[in-house]
Amino acid sequence: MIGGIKAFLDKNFNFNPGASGIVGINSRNIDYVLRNNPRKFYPLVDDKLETKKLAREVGIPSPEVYGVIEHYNQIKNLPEITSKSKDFVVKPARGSGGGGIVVIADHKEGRYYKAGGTVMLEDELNFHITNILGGLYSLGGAADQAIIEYRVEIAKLFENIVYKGVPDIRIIIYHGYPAMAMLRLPTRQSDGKANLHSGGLGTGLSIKTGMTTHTVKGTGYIDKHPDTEAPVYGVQIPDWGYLLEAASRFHEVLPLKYIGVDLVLDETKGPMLLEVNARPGLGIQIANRAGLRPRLDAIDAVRELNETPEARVRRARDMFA
Amino acid sequence: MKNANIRSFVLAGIFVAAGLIVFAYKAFVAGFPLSPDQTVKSWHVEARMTLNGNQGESRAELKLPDPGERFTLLDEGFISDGYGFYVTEPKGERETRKAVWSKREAKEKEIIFYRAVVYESRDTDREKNIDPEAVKKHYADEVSSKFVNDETAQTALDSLHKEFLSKSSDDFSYATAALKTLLNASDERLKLIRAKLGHGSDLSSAATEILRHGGIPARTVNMLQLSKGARDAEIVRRTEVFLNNQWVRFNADTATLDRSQNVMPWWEGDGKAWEVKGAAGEATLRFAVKQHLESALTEAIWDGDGLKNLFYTSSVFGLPVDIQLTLQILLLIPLGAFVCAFLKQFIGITTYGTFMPVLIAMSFRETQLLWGIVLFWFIIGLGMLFRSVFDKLQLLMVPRLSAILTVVVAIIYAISLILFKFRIQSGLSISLFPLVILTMIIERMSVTWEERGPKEALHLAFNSLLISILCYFVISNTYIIHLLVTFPELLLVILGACLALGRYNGFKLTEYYRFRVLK
Repeated sequence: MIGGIKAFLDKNFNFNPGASGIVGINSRNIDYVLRNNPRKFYPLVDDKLETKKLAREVGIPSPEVYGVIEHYNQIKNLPEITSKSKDFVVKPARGSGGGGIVVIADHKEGRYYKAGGTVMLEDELNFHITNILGGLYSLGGAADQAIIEYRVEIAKLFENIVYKGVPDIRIIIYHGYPAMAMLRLPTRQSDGKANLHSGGLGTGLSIKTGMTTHTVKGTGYIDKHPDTEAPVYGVQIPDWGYLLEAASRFHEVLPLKYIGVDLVLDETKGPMLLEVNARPGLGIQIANRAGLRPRLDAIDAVRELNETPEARVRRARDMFA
Repeated sequence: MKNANIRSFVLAGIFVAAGLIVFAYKAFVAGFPLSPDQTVKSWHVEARMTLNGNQGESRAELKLPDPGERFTLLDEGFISDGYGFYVTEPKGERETRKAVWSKREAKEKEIIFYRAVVYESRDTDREKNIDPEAVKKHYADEVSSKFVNDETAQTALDSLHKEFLSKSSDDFSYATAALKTLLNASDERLKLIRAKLGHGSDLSSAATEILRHGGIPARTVNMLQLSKGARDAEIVRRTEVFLNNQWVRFNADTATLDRSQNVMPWWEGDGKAWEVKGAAGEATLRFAVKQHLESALTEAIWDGDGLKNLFYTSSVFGLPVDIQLTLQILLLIPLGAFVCAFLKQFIGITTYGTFMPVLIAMSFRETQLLWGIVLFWFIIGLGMLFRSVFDKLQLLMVPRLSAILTVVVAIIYAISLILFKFRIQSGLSISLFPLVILTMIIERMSVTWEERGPKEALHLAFNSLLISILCYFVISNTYIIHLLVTFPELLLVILGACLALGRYNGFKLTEYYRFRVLK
């Protein structure tokens, strides 16, 4: 029956994504996530504090934590925590999809200036934190913690192709091999978020070279950043080999085998780990104008070799464009 | 993955096959009906005997219904306060079953109940099974003993017999002639016979006696009128005449054929249905009737052998009606859930909450669809308005949710009250809207509104409503309800389908759209 429906869809849409090597959500879940990511290890990536520990083991820095608020009565410590830095980010430890993140660019006398330009009073920030603690942004609505951490300083390199917000690099790591990568660029429309759903740009990255390739906005391809008009094609990501290796090393410390590693480039501190995702999205295929399936199949064919991270990255850069 | 696939599909296959085998057996061998319109009528019948008398030992007998060829008794219940009780089985062909209650220390007033469920049979085979010889033996040859040694009565009967014979050509015209003559109140012969029949006699009993004397099998039958519902149901007395090997019912009072369907024979003869002995001096007997339509499956059940009875006990039909309705809803939930799962995995429609559409659809069943949709949007809209106010108060999350829940309850309460004042019936049923689900939709919609914009929030709400409506049409389809309730083993098929769907790794319909730029 299922085969019949598949045939019907292929025929009537005159397009067979399966034949193009595209992986759909159902296939991602059944063939990759359920098979390779045992549920019990999810807390390691769902909780950003745990992920930071993993990052230390891997040897890649992550944004410095100024303070963690676990209970409502700790909210009063907020001024003391924020006194460590002019700017900072508040985020839920177990948030998903970028929900609940507040970026503060400056603050004085109980007034917090958000990166977007609006002002948040101390009350409002406190309230936002109580919402985080209450689990409003956490997976399944469970009680959560609020992390106050270093605000990444955007690398100069991206100045022309970013409108507000922080661009991040997503690398899909499958059994320790980088399979596909993408640069996510915030736009005016996405309000500083790098999320593709909210109007951000997705730019494919060549695994071989670390250069930007195609850029997708919404459902179409573009050549220039819609806000800055700067070309988004052919931008070279620095330290590409290092980034690939750092991401690949999660294979050694994390029992999840199909992950999306999110990295940022800080102007002064260099590459940093933002988070790891156990269910990386599939929009990366659109940004790369390529399906994941052939690459994942190629990795399946060599993954038993038990190669070193360096060897894995070398092999991936040879195999994939 | 291969293993997981094989295991899932084998298990799914086993469930589906098991469900379908039981289903097929019940449908095609045991005769459970496949469609809901094959209904038979059933009635709850109640006889309420009130005993008035002195304190002391008393004994009461009640003739139990002999439902005849067209009806079948399914369930009988005997309710009394401290009476010893037994049922006597009929000894001879003309005896009926009796319930006998006795109590040593009866109070001055005692009430005894007899309850039964009666089904109208659509099975006409049983009428064909009547043995004409036996009927003739029992209802014609044996002339009523009252007149055996009574010459004047015999003379009168003989005279009548001759008259009827001259007026008729066959048994049927004989019977009509007799009944017509009976209406003539001034006929001296009839006066005599009726007087001799004595107390409790009426035209029916006279007719029966006269017809029997003429060699035509006849009987007086006391019949309960089965109506939609009556606290005081009537007993009517009819004369049944055996013509052309079947019983034909006449109304002696009008000398016409009585073709009414909804009358059930209770007892025969011109006596009472009850008899009281001992301290209980007198008794009154009242009958109550309540009809409910049931699908023909009950017929498949009551006639059945042991296996069918097993199916019967495993189905909901042996239970009180309100529990049946609850279980019916219960059986529909998995189907609704499957619809949601299918739409999510095959089509790719996202909603607020995975199974929320099922629960909303359930409440649509109570409110009617159009009302349900109007109320849904009204409550969500008003709820979000309140939510935005609460947001300014900077409340903790759980108390805020409680506050929204309270508001939702208050809205529903107010709507119910207002609609009830205007006598709009569906107003009351909206209290069945799943409150917590509505609260969560309001909260999640507000958050989505804030973070991803009104467009996305409304889009999700619209999706949710759309799927709810779809679920509603599935779970309120009488055919589907009938199938699930009659064949609960179809749950196994749904289970198998869920397992198979759980291993579907193909593309969703929406992904064809999403990835179309990669063409």
